[in-house]
Amino acid sequence: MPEPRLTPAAFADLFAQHAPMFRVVAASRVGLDAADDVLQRAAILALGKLDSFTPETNFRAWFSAFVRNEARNMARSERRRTGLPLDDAALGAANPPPAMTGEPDADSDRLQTCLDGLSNTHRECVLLRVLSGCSYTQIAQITGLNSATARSHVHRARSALAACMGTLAAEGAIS
Amino acid sequence: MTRADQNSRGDELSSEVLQDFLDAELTPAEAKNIRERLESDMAARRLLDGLQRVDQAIAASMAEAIRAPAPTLDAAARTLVRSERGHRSGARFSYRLRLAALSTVAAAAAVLAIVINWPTPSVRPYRPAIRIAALYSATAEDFVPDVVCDTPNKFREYTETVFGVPLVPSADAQVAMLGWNKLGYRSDDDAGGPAASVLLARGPAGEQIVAIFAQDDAVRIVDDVSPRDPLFVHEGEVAGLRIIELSPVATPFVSRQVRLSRD
Repeated sequence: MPEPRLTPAAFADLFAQHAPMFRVVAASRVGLDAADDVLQRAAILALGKLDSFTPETNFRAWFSAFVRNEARNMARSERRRTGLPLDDAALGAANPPPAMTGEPDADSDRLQTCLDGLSNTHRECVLLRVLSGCSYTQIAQITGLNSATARSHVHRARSALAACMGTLAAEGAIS
Repeated sequence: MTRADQNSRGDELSSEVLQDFLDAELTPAEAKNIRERLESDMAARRLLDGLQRVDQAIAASMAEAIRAPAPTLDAAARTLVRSERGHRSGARFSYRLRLAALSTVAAAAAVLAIVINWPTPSVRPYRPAIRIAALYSATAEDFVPDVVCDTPNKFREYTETVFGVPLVPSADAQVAMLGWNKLGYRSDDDAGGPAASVLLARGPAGEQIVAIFAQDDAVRIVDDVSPRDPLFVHEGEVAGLRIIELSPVATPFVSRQVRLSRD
């Protein structure tokens, strides 16, 4: 008997169910403003490749790969439009940190600056942990890392953010 | 004795233990030890405050937007989903309607792809009609296979692990890994930067699959490339790096970039 495949309707249901988590994955790479655009593009591509989904595997991991690839494509086309160098250093500059919502405050401003200094993987891991409340096992499934590495990334990222925000706060107090 | 116990009795509470405390990952006994320690250890208290401030700032800045309802799927995708729901509930949609929906999705994807990859007016793409065989010839130099995947499943698992995308989903595929090579640099340490790698394989229909990636976790995959198909190549030098972007003519939206050498 053939394996039941993922139907477009089932895909749409899963997409809606896990959208906040996918938005975190996208936002960690292109910022919140562009995250939904990335999800749209990833959904269109995934709908065309539903046969590549293996039913017994993890949907979040499968679709996150599309989101991540589309985020890269968007960052790259953004670099092309803005004429920034195709360079890893420029990638960070071209990737706006997650856009803030609500009233800006000092901690939020510092956070934005400090998030920008993290690698994509560190940013993704810490945001999945803090915003989505993902376990290390879930983060590992989504990112393709193992659990221990995911845990290490979360710890390092959060420590780096704390140190960075502390430094910026001290500099602000002095000036 | 757990790490938390050791830490609580040692000189300093580590950031790692404090994060586990913050995330409620410790046992009640371990957490109690940490709480007692925090009452007298001001350095640890400051460290914990800094970590808490990070979580609070992230939540305050982004939580509301992240939890917003799912974005609405594009019209083309919705058409496809609706037709599928109708089919599932017993309504019959004609083959022509479904074909139209699929065509709409494909057209939308193609338009999207063209928009995404359309070069800016100031950039004239360089498009020599190089052939994939020439690329393979270039990568064959100093060929050192790191991995041999002699079955479709091994290759599928491998590409899924490395690239996040299963390149050969069919169990009937005849897979042969042709080459795995690092270009440009002798090693990361020598070059002081990431190396680009190229992986060549054959897909289910005998087509060549080319996966090009750098070690910065940015994976670029070009698949379904016939050895006779020319590639679009955009080449240029940016910040001392020679940049080559490849995309097969048939599917320009999978254009990817690869850094081949540092001049």
